[in-house]
Amino acid sequence: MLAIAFFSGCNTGDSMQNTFYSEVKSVNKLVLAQMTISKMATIDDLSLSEAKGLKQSVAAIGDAMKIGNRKAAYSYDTYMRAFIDLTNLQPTDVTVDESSKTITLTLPAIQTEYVGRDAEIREDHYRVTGLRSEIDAEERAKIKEQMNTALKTEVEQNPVFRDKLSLQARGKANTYFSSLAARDGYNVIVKFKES
Amino acid sequence: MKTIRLIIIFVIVIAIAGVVVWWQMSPEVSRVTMHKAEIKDVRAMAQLCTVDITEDVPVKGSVGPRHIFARQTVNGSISFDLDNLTMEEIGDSVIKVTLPPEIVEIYESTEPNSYVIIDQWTDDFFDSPNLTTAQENAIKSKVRDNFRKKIYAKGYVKRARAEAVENLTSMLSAMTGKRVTVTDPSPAGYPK
Repeated sequence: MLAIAFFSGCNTGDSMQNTFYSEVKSVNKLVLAQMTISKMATIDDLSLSEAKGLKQSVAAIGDAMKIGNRKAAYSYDTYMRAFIDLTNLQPTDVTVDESSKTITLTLPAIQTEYVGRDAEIREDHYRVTGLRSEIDAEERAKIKEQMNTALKTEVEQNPVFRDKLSLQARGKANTYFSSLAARDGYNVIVKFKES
Repeated sequence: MKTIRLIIIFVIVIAIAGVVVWWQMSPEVSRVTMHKAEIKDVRAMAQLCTVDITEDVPVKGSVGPRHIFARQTVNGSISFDLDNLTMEEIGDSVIKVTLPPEIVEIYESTEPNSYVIIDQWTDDFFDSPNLTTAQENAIKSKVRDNFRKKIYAKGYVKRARAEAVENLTSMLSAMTGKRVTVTDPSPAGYPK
C-alpha cells in the first residue's frame, strides 16, 4: 500500500525539499461532518506607537522613512472532518433485544482530522505603492505557513472547533444509523465507544 | 584623571552591554498580524471514504517570461455519498445497492512546509520575476486538475470503488441484518 517515490532535480534548498513523497492508503472511514475554518493575516508596516522593544522600534523608524505603503490581507480556508473508523466495528457492536424490541449499536469513537486547505490563497487587499517591494510568491508561501501554524495552535487550544464538529457528527450518526437499522417497530439506540 | 578615564570607560561598557541585552531581549520584528480563525460552516454528511492519498507534487508554471517552481504536498481522498444511495429491497431478506459516483477531493496538506517555493525567475532581464496572486493561483489550480487526472490514470479510483463495494456490503449487512448486494455500474469511475 505504500509507495515511496523520490527525488526531483532542483538547484536550491536542502535535501528534504528535494524529496518527493507519495502514499496511497486504503481506509474505511465513515465521514459524518466537515468544518470549514477561515484564517486571515494582514501585512502592514510597524508603527512606532505599537512597537515593543528595541528591535521593533528600530524597524518602525525604518518603515516610517520608506517611501510608499505596503499593505495586504490574505486568507484561505482549511477543512476538518469528523469520522468513525469502520475497521473498528465488530459484529458484537450490534445487539438485538427481542423482548424490548431494541437494537443497540455501539459505534467506534468519533475522530477528527484535517482534510487539507485551499491551495489557492485569497488576496483580500493589496496596496503596495511608491518605492516599496512587491509581495512575491515566496513571501505569500511563508505567510501561509505562519497562518497554518497559528490556526493549528488555535484549534488545539480552543476545544470549540472539535466539539462543534463532533456534535454535528454524533447527530448525523444517530439519524443515519437509526434509519438504517430501524425495522419492524424496533427502537434503535446509538452509542459511541470512548476514544 | 586616570580614575575619571576608567569611570568613563566603565560607563560606556555598561551602556553598550545594556543596549545589547535590550536588543537581545526585545521581541522579534513581524509585520504580519494574525486574525482569529473563524468557523465558516459545519455540515453533516454520510460519506464512505475508502482511499486517502498524500503526495508531493512539483508546481511548475510560467506566465509570459516569468516562471515558478515549487513543491506542494497534496492530500486527496476518494469518497462515496451514502445519503443518496440507491437501495432496493428484494423480498424480506435481500437489499440491492448501487454504488454512486465517487467524490474526489484534492487539497493542499496542512502538514508543515506543504508549499515551498524553490525558484522563481524571469527571462526578461529588466522585468520582475514576481507572479501576482491570481497568476500563482491559476498555476496551482492546473496542478490540481492534473493531479485529479493522475488519480484516475493510476487506478486509485478503480481501487477505491472496489473497496467501497466490499466495505459497504459488510457495513450494511451488519446494520440491517439482511443480505446486501452492492453493484458497481462503472468500476473505473466517472472522470470529469
